[in-house]
Amino acid sequence: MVKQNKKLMIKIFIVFFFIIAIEKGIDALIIANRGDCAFGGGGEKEGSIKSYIIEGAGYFLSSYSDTLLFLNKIEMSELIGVDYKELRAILYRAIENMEKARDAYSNLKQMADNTPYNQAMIDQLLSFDYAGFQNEKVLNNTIFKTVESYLSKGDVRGFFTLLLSNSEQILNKLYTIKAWVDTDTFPGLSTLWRVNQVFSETMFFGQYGAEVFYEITGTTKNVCD
Amino acid sequence: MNKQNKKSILKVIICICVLVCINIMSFALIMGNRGECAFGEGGEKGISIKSYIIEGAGYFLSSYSDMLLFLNRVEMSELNGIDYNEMRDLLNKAIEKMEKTKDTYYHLTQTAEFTVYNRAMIFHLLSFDYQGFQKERGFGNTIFKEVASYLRKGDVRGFFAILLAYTDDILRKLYIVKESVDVDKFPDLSTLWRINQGFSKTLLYGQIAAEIFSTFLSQNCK
Repeated sequence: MVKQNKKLMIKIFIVFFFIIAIEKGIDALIIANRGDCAFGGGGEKEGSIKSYIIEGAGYFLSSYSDTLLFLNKIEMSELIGVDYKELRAILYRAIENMEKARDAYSNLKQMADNTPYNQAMIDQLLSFDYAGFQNEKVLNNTIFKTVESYLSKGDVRGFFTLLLSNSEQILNKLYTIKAWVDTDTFPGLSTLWRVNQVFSETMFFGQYGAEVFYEITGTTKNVCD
Repeated sequence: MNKQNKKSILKVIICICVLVCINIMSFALIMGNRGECAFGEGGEKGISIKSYIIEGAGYFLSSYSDMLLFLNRVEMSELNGIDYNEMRDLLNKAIEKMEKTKDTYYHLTQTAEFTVYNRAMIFHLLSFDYQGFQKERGFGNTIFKEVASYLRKGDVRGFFAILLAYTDDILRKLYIVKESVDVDKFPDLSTLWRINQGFSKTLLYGQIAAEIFSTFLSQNCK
């Protein structure tokens, strides 16, 4: 009886959390924000999509921050020497956070694949003035064109899938660096350059998606209600 | 006599430091590395250029790392609420390091301005296959073309000047965010997006140049 009460309490708490989350209109702000608005029906699934976007972005930003700290230590090693113990500690944190980002994006993809689109938002994406927006905000042409290639077709699921595959790509490169650092070997510079490149491109990709979603939901009433 | 001895000892120490620096051939590895190879015949100025590149890159990477943590807090504020004290702390750290980056890049441009070019490196840059390299490494057009526009003319000083200008631009935007955060006001999202873009663009700009510079054989860079 006590166990059943506990279960009931937990269920009530979860439902309560989602209602508050939806009521408060929680948004991811930096990467892919309001991408959840492309999915309809409201309720638990939409709430989960929002949460996964925020979680994924949070872990991704943490991982990139640690990777830049790692690159800082690599850079400064030319003046003050290499401390492999410190390098390992920073790299492990970067990997752990990127694994969590990948998991969040994997859950996001699964959830998005099983949730119907919000047609009002998709219509907005289909008719959006991508060229005008890019010119106005002076966005990187190469990456914006990739974002546009998904969103101009209303393919938000594809947009999420690319976030996931890029996260996996970053993670594989971080594992390669780990193999070097674990044996006190100075990591290959070209791998460090490539990992920074994919981090940067993925972040731009997510951010530009967020900017488009935000532009649409910010200027069009009720599309994300 | 004592004073003279002290001066002599100091001179010897400085000479040893310079020799050690030359021997370890310190390179900046992530941003603009081996840019110093475009200058002079070694000596003190060449070493200063090396050190400024390394220092500037170090501060820049550290500042961007803090900024990403700041953005992480902005992102997570939707779930965890806002702690303005923590945000101020992260932002002030990012600003402090970016100010040091700017100072370092300023000294870098000044020193480069008054140091002669190393003709061998400049010739390498003039005859480099930029298109093939871009294709091989998979760089996007926008930033690569900007880097190439300076290096294919052998204008390494111009390349450094752009690093300084980008840094200055990031710093101005960071001050705008600081104005909001200092009065417990949530920062404007579009400014945060543009700052992030500025950081990322500058880092890739420096990295692409580092990759191009590193194709110059080390034995030609003394």
